[in-house]
Amino acid sequence: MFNPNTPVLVVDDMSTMRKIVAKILRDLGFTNITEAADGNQAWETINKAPAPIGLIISDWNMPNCTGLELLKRLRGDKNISRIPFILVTAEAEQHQVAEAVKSGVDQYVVKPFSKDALQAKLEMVHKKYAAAA
Amino acid sequence: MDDFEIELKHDFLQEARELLQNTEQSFLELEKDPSNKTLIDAIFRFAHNLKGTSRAVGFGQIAELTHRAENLLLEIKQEKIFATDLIVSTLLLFNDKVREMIDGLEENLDAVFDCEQLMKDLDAIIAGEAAAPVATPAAASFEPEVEVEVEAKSVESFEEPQVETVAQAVVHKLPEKKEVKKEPRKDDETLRVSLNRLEVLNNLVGELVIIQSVVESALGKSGELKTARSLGKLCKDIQDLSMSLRMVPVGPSFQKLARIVRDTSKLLNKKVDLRLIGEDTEIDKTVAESLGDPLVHIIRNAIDHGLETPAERIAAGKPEEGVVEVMAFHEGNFLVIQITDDGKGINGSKLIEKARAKGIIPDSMNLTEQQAIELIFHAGFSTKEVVSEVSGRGVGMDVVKTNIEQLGGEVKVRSKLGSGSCFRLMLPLTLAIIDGMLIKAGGQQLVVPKGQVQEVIRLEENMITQMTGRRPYMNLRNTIIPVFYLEEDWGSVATGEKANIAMIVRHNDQSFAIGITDIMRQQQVVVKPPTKEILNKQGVMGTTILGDGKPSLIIDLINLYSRKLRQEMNNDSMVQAA
Repeated sequence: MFNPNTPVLVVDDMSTMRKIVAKILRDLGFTNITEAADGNQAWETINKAPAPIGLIISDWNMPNCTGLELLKRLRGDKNISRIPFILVTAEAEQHQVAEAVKSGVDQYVVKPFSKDALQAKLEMVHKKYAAAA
Repeated sequence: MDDFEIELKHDFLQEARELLQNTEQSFLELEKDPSNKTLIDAIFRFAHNLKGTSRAVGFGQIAELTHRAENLLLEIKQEKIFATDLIVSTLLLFNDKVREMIDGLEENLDAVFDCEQLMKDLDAIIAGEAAAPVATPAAASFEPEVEVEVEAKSVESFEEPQVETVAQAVVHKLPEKKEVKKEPRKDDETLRVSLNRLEVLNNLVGELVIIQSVVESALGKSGELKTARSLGKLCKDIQDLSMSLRMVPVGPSFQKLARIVRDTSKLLNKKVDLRLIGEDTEIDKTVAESLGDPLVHIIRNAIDHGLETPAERIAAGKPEEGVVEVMAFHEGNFLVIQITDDGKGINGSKLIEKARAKGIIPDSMNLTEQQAIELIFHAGFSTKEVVSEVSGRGVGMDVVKTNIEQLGGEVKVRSKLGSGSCFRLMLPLTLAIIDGMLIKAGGQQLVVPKGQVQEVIRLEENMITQMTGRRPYMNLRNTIIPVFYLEEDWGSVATGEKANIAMIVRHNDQSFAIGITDIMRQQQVVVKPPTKEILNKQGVMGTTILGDGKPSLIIDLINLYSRKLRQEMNNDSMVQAA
């Protein structure tokens, strides 16, 4: 599983959603959680964060820069080492998941999700990155 | 429910309320520009977020209803359904319903609501059935207690196709401001703080300023004036800053108006172009909150009684679309909100007739045109023969006037027959601090708001004319004005001190002189609301603590004496009439 000190970035334009996700992460033991309200803010945070962000959990539909746009930007940047990326989707977006997978998303969770659901996804993502390393 | 869940639910309700505010504006713009993709995207995202988050925090009913709206919006977004006037109306009903649910849930987190009909309507539109919301948003939004009756009416009128096209409300917003709103700059990041804490802070800073003035006078004596002044400046800056924390832009109060204009103009089949200017102008939060109702009332009045029907306007050589302009700006220590319409204006002679018929003024009383127009502020006054559904609900302009005056403000009206009316609301920027004048009357130290005093003159005995049984009067630059003595109302003891000075106060084009013993100095005072014991005493605005640590009453001269003057004038006119 991820080291609990891994800096996690939670991206969502609804502050209530960010709070929920952050709470689940804290319940899973994570201690270093940063929030951003859209893809642009997230991009800034990723580039400025004192310790490199080690995991991103991002909403899909956001103003200014969507989760998918953020993902494409990340994967398109050679200077940023691959950061595990989990996309949070609503059921209406499920048919679009293929595009997200093509763009390099590691996992997606459908909201609302439970602590267990997120933990399962996190473990899968962690295994994948551990195997690659 | 554990604490975190409860906290989340409340967080969600607050966030959802803010979202709703912005979305209503988008809905209204959508009506004007139904194919605007950016707007549709924004509204869709709103519904999407609302659904996802409400479900996540456990508000299943909001999620279920919003899910229907989201489906409809998706169809609109994918250009499978065109956002007709009717569809926008249904979506506005949805908006209203969500607001109602949020209000209800704030009271009780387990509240349950009836939204079957609305969900059916939304589904029907998606299914392509005769999409017909049973209530117009106009009815739902401001006539809740007569909803059933209005509903029936709108179903009838529904069969007539012109409902969709006859009335149109157009909202102009200043484009450049909208841009600013969309992408808040990073250094404008905000933090929610409870108003209670701000009030405590303001109170403490108020005390600090008082102590500072005590320290200043002590230090001044010991020759440390420079230090005292620096301290004073610092305190003043802190005070300005802490006051500014309570300031909010008037924008949100204005945005509600767009909806009111839309609904009212539809109901009355009038065309209205609403222009909002100065939405960024800031005002104390408490004042802003009390501003909503008076504004709504004036706007409805302007559309109902002020603006003509399109046919009447064309006959009068005016464009068929009437203009209602709402403008906010600062003027001195006041926020001014001006509501101007280009309608038919107020007919003074008609008002006089009506006032005489109702016995509001005696037949013998002659009024100037301006005084006649101001009759609309008289309690229980409505000139329309039949009380209209829109603005004549027993709440008159007198209530608007009273509300504004309770805030320490003033309402003025100017009107020209045939060309329109202008209402001017003047509101104090803040209720917490006023520029005061410390005066002496009847052996007491009292504070009066400096803004109320037009001028101060030295009183000589021969200036005042006394008449038995009547209010004394004086001649001020060829105008006869009544003279009051503050000592009569607020002196602690009959001191027999001479009133050496008169403060001239002006209210509604009527001046009056108020005799006092002396003026000590001018100073800013922190207003503390009156306690229960003195609340019922007329003319007390609040209390304050002076620099020497002594408490003092703050006297609202206009409130006290305009009332007194009216009473005395009524008595006089009764005497004359008899």
